[in-house]
Amino acid sequence: MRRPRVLVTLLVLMMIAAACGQKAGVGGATSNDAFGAGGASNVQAGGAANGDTGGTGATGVADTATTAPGATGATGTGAAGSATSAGTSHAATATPAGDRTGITDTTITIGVHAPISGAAPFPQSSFQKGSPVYWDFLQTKGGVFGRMVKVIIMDDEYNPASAKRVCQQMVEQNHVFLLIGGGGADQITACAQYANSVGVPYLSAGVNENGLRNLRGYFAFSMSYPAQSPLLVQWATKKLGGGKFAIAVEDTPSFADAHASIVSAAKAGGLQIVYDKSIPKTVQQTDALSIANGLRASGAQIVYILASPQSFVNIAAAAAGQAYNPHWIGPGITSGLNLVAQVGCPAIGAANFLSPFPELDVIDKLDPDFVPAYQKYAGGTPDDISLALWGLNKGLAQVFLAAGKDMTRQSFVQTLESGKRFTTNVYPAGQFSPTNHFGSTQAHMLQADCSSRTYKTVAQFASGF
Amino acid sequence: MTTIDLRSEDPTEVIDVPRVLADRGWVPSARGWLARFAVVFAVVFVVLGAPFYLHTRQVDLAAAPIYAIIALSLNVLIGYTGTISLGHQAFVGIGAFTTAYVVGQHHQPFLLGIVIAAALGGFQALILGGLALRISGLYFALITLSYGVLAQESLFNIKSLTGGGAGATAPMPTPIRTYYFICLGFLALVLYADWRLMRSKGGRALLALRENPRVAATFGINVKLYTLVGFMVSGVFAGIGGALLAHRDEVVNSVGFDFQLALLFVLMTVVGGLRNRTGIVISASLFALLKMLVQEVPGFQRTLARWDLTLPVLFLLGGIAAVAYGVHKRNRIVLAVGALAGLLAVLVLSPVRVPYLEDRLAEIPVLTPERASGVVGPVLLLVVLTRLPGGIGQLVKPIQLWVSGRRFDWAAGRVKEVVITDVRA
Amino acid sequence: MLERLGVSHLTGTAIGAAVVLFLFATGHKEDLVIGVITGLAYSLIALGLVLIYKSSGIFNFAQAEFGSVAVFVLYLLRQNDMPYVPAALLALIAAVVLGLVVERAVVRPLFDAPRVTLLVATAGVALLSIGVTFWLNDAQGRTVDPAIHGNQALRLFDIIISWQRVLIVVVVLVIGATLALFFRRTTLGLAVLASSQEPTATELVGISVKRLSTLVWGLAALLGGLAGVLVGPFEPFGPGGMTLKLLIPGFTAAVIGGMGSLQGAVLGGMIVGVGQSLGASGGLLPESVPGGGAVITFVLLAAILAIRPQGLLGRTT
Repeated sequence: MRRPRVLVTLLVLMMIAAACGQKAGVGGATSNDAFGAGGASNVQAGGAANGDTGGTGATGVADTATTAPGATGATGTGAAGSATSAGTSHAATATPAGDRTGITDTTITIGVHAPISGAAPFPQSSFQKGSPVYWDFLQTKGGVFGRMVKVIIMDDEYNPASAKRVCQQMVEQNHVFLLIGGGGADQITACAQYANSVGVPYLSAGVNENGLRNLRGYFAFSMSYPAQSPLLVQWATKKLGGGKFAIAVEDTPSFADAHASIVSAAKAGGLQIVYDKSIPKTVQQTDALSIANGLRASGAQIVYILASPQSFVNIAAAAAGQAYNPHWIGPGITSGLNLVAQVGCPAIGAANFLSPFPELDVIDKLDPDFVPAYQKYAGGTPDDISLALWGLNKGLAQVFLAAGKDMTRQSFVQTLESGKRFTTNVYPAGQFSPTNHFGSTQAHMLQADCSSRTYKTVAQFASGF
Repeated sequence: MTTIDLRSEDPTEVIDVPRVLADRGWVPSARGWLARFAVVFAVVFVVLGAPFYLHTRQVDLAAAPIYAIIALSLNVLIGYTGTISLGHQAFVGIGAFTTAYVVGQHHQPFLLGIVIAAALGGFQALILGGLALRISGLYFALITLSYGVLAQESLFNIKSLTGGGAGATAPMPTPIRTYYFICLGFLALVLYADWRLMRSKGGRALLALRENPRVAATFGINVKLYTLVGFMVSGVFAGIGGALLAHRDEVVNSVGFDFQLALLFVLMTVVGGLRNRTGIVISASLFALLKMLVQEVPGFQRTLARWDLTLPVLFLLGGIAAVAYGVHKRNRIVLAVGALAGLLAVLVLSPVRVPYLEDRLAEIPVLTPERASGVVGPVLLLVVLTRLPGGIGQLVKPIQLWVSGRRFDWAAGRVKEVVITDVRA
Repeated sequence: MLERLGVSHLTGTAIGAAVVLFLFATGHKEDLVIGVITGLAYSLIALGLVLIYKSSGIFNFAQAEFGSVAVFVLYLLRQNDMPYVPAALLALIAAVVLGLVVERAVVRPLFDAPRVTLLVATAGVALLSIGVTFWLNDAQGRTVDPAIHGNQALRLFDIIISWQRVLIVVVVLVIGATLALFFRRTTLGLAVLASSQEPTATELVGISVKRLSTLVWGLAALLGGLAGVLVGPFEPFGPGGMTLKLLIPGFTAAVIGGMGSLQGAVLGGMIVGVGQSLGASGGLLPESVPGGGAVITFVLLAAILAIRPQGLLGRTT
């Protein structure tokens, strides 16, 4: 380094100036207005006004020209009073009249994030084979007004930071029209909040409600975990005989509402809560044994578990090893997959999980198109992940078709909120309104059948038992 | 009068003394200076211009200076104080969660977040350094390992401070392009601080310490003090890196700070070449940008995807190399294995159908960019440790010396072996 | 043997007995049992670590990966319907082959390098193994079946111990004893110790240090593979699963017991296991501080290294 002092001083000056200026949009407007029609825009350029997403204390020098070459390129986005708290360069500044990113004359591009590696992975091949099937099928019927739908799948590594990162990548580089979350409440929450800040619609199966309730562009297409609690309590009392009840919920703020809801539902239903402890996000051998032992010592006959499928299997296996076989129940998207039955049987016994989609045993009666379409376009026998994707895409297609040929992100959201009922006969019907983005009131009840190592559907489209 | 500078921060570097003496007084021509200036300008252009050219990849680009800062902080520990740290993700994570707490939860200014993160990073490093005074070398590595696990499973999961499973938020303070330059600015700051530290009396004391603490003590160097200084500096740098990382990702979660991240940091630092700042910056940037590079370089992804072609070609090349080596060193086993591999590869590539092998080859999964970094990284590490001790720094040193006005010398910068500490405990 | 029990040994045993009694009294006896039986898995890894350390002073970070490779091979073979015993044997052979390759390609070139460099090198081997397994096998959790089926072997304080766990106990004790005898009584064992302390002198006496190194690494890989095959069935494993779950506690166990002591490895494993189960059961730490097991492990490790660096059963040589 020949003249480090000069170089470094320059760079440090540049850095300080850059840090003091150009603080557009950190003052957390929630950019719900990016979706059009809605309250008065209260976004302030360079503002530290609404501090809920962490304004970095604008020192009022928002207009200072910086010496950094890069900053001049950023003035265009910054000064427009962008409602982005993620500092990305576009989206919310689009005219509310119509954001058609991701839609061309021939294609609609959508993005999906799901855990393919990390603590609770799905098999990559299931996703890759399963996602295009419905769209290939629909294409023979004219597609979405002649357009094909392309699905991009990315791995969120069961980590909310990675989820946000891949969502950002899909929005900024692949220019997806909307985003879908495959599973994992923390990851869904992180990505949904990001998507909302840049005006991208986001859909997922129902998980938590906290942190998602006020997002204008977020829609849950199945019952949320808190909403499922009364159903589970009814199942426990009417079909399983009630008795001593244990609650094991993963220790994350995302599940606080689910936890509160199951506790109150259990009390209202007359169940005796003998165990209520939180379990860590990753449960390993010693943890599993300790938790199983604690459950056994409490004498619980029915255990409500809300955690990753991996944790569930480990705890169930440890419990079975101790000759303790309670009845496992829980809300779900992922614990009711055949994958879990394959790995978890015989320890999980006749576990009952609610699910937004039915299992393969009844799908031929509900939607006879699925299996032939899968065999034609993907080849081989379908698995339940593909079934879930089929149902999801089918519902999505209905919304696309209802939104009309000239669809924008805003019109997509408005179509969902219009109160129209979307039925797929796979997922429960969804009906949303401007004030209710959790539009489902039914779920399917699955039961593990360890003789075949699969889950069977024991109740369909149930809103009570 | 020209003074000959034979000093090198790295005592394991091989200095060709006769060559240095012979070249004394040599000055490049005008054309030579022009060429050197052109190279420097090209490098600066790439670094400063990247976010404009790759404007959809700016978030990825910002990772490069951040990882460079983290690798430099680990270099202070491993390269200067001679302490191996297998829990460095904890140092970085503390910086990340601190700034998320200060800026995200309490809405303080960005710079305040960085400062507090750096301070906390230095403070907890100091505590760990205190432990290092009592425990030596290899065993201390295990303490750092255990500390890393402690941080990930316990500290970073305290809900009130870190948001637990859902994580904490740390919003990016400026648009991404500006943020890239902010990170570059911090990298320059860290490099400058590192350079000044090593030029100072303290720095020389650190290096003496690393070579042999007992001998250093006899020279009157306060071993305890300088070990603590080294730890503190490393912690401060790591805190800065962690804070910048948090603002880049905007969501910080304990899941990301696992043992494998710690190993990745060690990997980056060792592959860069210990005690060689340029090498470390380059190495860290490469690892940070590996996925992006694979996706942007045309044809690369196809190579990683078509294993039924790539693997036989590799085997063929490897087979030829092995045969050549076997002939040269008269090693019959190597020759036989090489010939076999080459023959098999030719068979597979030819129109003749090889039943079992071709099916197995077709089944090998695609080497996606994510998986590629998991394989390429450790291979590079092992190659550096066994064959190229100076790492990337060793490869870059000739160019560095050339740019600073010396004659170009291929053999400059050669390092004898990877030495973390000379104390052969 | 009684003569070799020094004062420190007696105080140590007294402290240990006091702790156990305390745990019984405070209602943690089940955690004690859980801790001991899961801790023996760590002991198995620790034995391999101590073996390598005694013979070459290296901290082998790839020890758990020998187990990973073995259990993956076992899984693949069982998927293809090979009967258990030959599949397990082939899995162990695979682990040994890996160990020999590592010895030849990584350890030999770095024979005279500082031990810290070798630590980083073995960590690189572990990372490479994890990377390759991830590439070839995906992140999915897989299961293997245990060597001995059957759940109810013993019942201790309401905790049921399966036959597989009993097998692990037996294997650990047998291997521990065999290795101890090997180092103390056989010439080969003595040669291994000699080559680690005085390689030049050993060569001068006519013993090939390189051959001994190969032998030791093959043996350690066998132990690692055994650990993988025996411990694998307890929960679904993925790439790097063994390293993440077993290596760090294994090292802690080895250090607590004393890196030069095989009995120490066994004892250390049990101690770490008990620490973790106490942390997991939520007995010792407040609710708001998660990860109790990690905290207790760290505190134990720091305490031992600060107070008695040679480990509980190590000698001060």
